Amino acid sequence: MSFDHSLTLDIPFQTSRQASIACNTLSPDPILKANELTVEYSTKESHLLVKFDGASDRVIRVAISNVIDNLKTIIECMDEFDEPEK
Amino acid sequence: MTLIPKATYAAPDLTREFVPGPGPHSTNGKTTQISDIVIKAGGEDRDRPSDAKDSELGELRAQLTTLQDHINIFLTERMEIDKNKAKENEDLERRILDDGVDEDDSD
Repeated sequence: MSFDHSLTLDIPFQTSRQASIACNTLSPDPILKANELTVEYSTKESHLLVKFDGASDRVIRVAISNVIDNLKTIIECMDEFDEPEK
Repeated sequence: MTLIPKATYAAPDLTREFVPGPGPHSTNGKTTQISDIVIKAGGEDRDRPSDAKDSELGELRAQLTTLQDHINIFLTERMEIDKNKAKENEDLERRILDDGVDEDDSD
């Protein structure tokens, strides 16, 4: 299914390992309203890319703010507990 | 090195790039705190995020909060425009229908 509204997040991390941890942490989340929205997670080197395609600005607004909230928690956990590989 | 998050929006009528901008950035977002009404009534945000640490990832978290504010404000405005357009269309439809009734009345 294709939708005409899209928003792509590009989040840089210190290492590709961190980007991959963030991707694997977020991607199991089920998509609510799958008939109105798709979310694709991927990594490119040390960047996490999240692409939202939605039927309206409203569904993207709800989904993206939720994903960013989760991302901030992931980043905070890495900052507290994870040492980047040298 | 500073980690700077970005976002790209695309719709049939417009595309837009988002960056956090020069800052200063903090983890206390305008669009993610509890409502102004509750704050004015003396409410306390118990889910308030911890301050960003002075580290690369701490700065990324603060920058991401600013980016989230920019996106939320932009999309909320777009939703408002859509709502007003829908209302205008409804009003126009009503006017046309009402005119029709007037013509009938004048017969």
